[in-house]
Amino acid sequence: MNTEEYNTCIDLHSDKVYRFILKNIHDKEIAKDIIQDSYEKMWINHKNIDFAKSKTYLFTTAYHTMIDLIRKNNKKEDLNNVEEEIFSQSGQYSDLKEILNKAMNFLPEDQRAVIMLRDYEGYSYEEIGEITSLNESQVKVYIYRARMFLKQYIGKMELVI
Amino acid sequence: MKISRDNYEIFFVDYIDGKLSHNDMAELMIFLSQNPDLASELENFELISIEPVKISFDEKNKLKEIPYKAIIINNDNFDEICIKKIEGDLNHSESIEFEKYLLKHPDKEKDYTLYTKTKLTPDCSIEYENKLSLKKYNLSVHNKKWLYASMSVAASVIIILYFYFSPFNNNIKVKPKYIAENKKNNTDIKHSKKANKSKDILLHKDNISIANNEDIKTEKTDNKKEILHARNTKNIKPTIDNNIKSADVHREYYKTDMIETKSIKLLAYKITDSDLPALSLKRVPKIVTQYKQKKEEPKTLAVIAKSQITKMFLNRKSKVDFNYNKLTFWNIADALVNSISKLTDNKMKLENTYNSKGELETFAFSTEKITMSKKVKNK
Repeated sequence: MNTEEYNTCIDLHSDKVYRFILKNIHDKEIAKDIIQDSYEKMWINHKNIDFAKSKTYLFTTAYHTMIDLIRKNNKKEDLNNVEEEIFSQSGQYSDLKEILNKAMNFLPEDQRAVIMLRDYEGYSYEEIGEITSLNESQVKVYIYRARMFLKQYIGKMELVI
Repeated sequence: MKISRDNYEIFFVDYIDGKLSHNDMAELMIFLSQNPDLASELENFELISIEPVKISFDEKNKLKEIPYKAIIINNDNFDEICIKKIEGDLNHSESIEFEKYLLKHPDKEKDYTLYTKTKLTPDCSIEYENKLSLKKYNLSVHNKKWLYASMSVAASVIIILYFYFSPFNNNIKVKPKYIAENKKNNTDIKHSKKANKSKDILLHKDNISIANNEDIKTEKTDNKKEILHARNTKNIKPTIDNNIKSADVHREYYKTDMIETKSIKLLAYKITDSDLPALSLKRVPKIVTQYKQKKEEPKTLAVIAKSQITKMFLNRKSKVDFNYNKLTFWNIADALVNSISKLTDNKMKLENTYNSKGELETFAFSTEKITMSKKVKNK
């Protein structure tokens, strides 16, 4: 990959990677730092990276950096530990996206990342496995569990509302 | 068929495979006896054998035609089938079966609808703003050479213009150190009848701090014999101490981090005034200069940065400026010339020479092809 291709990669993929990281981290500054670190690593190895695989390389690097950070900060929450009364608000949830964004926070980081890669970027199971260092079966299992959880969450919200 | 030299090979193969009839076998033997060269060929033919290699084809199942089996959807696997449907993992026939199932079980439609809502959509309003800061730019080799050549020319022009247009002088302005003293003598403090109305003469034993243009301030002590007090300042004129050598000037000039204190100490004395016979002063005050380290004041980031930049230039072991604590034009010019020299692989130098007084005499700028020097007129 030459310099021009590297700059093209920035134009094409920086928004997607940033969106992916931000949805996981919920911190703009940290997300920006991760993006910068990922692109710096890409630049260091740019001569060895094929332009066609640059997106996967980028997502892989950003994902691993993000996961390390999340596990370091230990920000996992379990829906079962959260009481339902928290979600009953005076105002109604009119936006499904809002509900889903909230629900995503309760997913484990690997399930969240996997389902985002599947729905946001349309990666195949194999590609997701390559990015997240999981095998195809594990990816399918994570997606299955994530969808089950989101469906239950939405169902509970509808009951509350 | 009769065996001949045109078709014997067929019989040979059949012979090795053991497929020759009794009659053909006899006929072959007769033929071989009549053709001994072919008999040896048959012997060699028998020696050649290839053992079978154990290789198996692993993907047999993919080639097999699997008879169609309708998927069985029930409460146990309904969630899994729903997710497969959303993920697009059901084939055409399975999708049809699934839709049939939903028609038969309308209560399951709601669950399937919830599953369809779990499909995330990206928020395209989120954009990374600092793309420009990530981008890299390369100068081509041709552009690099042009750039460095331009920089060299520009730097040379600036240096040449400075040489010819800036006023060079060696004024090392030294703050005059005013010392309170008597009209006549630097070291002796005399008591004059005309000027001094008071007869009290006090000589202070302790150090007296003297700053520029300040009058001497003393404190009274109990010991009148040893205290000399100059009340009438009319007789005391500040004068410049011309006895300070040039070396002293340089040392004091750069010691900006030191506090200078001058003290009057009694080292020797003599009686110079007959009006004071009672006093047996035998000591004469002498001015002693002492330097103490300034207390470091809290530094701001800008101050620290400035000092680091100054050190960076001064650490180049520049010989262009004897002022070792202050960043001057020569330091910057020398650093610039060195940088350009390294970038362009041209040997460029900036050299100065000084006289014994530390005054700039000549300066020279030299490259591989050109050398320029100029003498400086000193005042």
